[in-house]
Amino acid sequence: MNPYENLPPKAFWKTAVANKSMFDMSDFWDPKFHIGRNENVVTFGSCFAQHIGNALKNNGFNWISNESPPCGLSEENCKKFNYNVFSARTGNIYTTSLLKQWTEWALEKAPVPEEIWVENGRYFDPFRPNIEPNGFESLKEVKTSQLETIAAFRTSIKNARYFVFTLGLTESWVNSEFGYEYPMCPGTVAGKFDETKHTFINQQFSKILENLSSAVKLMKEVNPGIKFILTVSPVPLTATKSGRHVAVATMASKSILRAVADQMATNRANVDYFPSYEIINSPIFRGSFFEPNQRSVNPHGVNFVMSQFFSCLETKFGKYAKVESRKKTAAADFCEEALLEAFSK
Amino acid sequence: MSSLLIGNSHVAALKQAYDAQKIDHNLHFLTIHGNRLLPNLKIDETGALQATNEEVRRELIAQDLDSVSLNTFDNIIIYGCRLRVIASSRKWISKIKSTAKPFSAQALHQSHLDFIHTTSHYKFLIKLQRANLNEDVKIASIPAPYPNEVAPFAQGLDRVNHSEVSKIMNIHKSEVETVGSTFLDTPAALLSKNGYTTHKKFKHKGEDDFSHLNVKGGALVLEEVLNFIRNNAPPQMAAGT
Repeated sequence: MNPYENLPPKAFWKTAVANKSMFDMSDFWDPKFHIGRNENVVTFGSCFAQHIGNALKNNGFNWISNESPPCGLSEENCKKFNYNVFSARTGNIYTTSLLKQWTEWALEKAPVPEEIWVENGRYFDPFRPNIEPNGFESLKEVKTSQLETIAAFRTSIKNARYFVFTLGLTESWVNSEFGYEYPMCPGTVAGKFDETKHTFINQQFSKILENLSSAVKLMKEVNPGIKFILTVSPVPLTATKSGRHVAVATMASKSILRAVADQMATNRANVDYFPSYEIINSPIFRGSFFEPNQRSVNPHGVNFVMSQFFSCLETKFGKYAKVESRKKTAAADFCEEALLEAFSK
Repeated sequence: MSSLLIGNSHVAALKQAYDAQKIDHNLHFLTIHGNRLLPNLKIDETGALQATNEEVRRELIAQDLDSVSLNTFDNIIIYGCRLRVIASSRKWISKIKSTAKPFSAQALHQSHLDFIHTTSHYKFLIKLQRANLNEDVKIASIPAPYPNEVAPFAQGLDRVNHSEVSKIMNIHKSEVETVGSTFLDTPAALLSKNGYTTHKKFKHKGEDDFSHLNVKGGALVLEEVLNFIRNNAPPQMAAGT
């Protein structure tokens, strides 16, 4: 008798991988939490988090958007204006330090910086430079929008049962004078780069862990029941300032983030880790989940990852009830009756 | 003069008013309730209406409109089919209430455009424009009626940004005109005091039906339609000779 003898097939490479077609592989995740269809789930982080939000919504889960678009805005334009991409209009929160920064603003533990970028008469939010196509039309508009998003982020923290966060980057840009962080290097999407003020920091494991722990602690103070599901974005870096080859920098960055997520999930009962990163990036899938640029995750990859998310939940906690299709509404009845009355002979 | 009125359940009140008048204006009706008609109706290269599903095909045959060229009509009027109220009259109230929220001017403007462009009504106006019908075929567009002022969901309109709602109204007119149609706005006599709902005296008899007009309301819209037809008539016909 040895400790490996009674392990399930998923524990062995031969039975879990080598003897299986890649699309038959399963049991990648042993979820800690039974996510109920009625429980509030919010999603933030790097761009991959938006796929999780979409999949939750499409599968009848209670994914919450706390910042609604103007009524009538088409789905396509909602995306352009970054509505319903994450649970508030934060844009990508790439690093754990940015997550902590947003949390501190939302819970009024730190002031929101005054900095606004102006270009060609349009106004840009340095903390969400891509949020509004072509920027805002006035200083007042950008500040109002910023406060709306901070309020929506606060609501997300306070009302969420599950807070899904996708860790994306270790590389970051900070304002060395005031200490706050930008999600993107000034001068890339908007703003002007100033080497006397804008400093590159490639964050290390301990700092990333510390920032994530602080953010989790702050959120728990206002919402003791909140639970976290961490993922690591499988999307490689677009560019690196580290001096390394972008592929090497990507691997280093993701490895550190993966280790942080592991540490958090292993040591805390209220934190889980979902392995979307492994599913997309593992050599067992031979890169088939990437677009030809080897960076963007293709729809098959997203679908496969999310089908694993739901199947693992069902394997552990039992099947979810089928989502019922919407019944004919009373309004539809009125419409039918009105015509019948007018046109019946 | 021959005219075709295409629409959804809102046409019912007009039809009842039309029948009550007992005057034949040679007005033909093509209707299916909900949003099932226009998305499944196309116009072929000869200008004839073609159905893309069985329900619409049956309706075209029932109205003797199957494969009939739209060039045989002098006027084509599109009524309702979600223009202005989009998915439901409740949505119109949400739309105008949302104007009071602090959205960016750019996002609001885009939402006003999308509010029109995503309707089957507007999309069909584009199909009509692309069909290259004879120049003397005149096309008019009438938005769906506003929800009735007594609707529970139509309360609380004090929080509306009136200048922003005016923009929505103007955009409707200009977008419809851009695709070659005449915009016939909701008759002022139908409106309640706030200007964004239908006056309670035009409420449909159905207790919980806050969307449709009664026959009196239908008569007011019908009058707009008939005025449009008269205005496009050759001079001697318009004068009634």
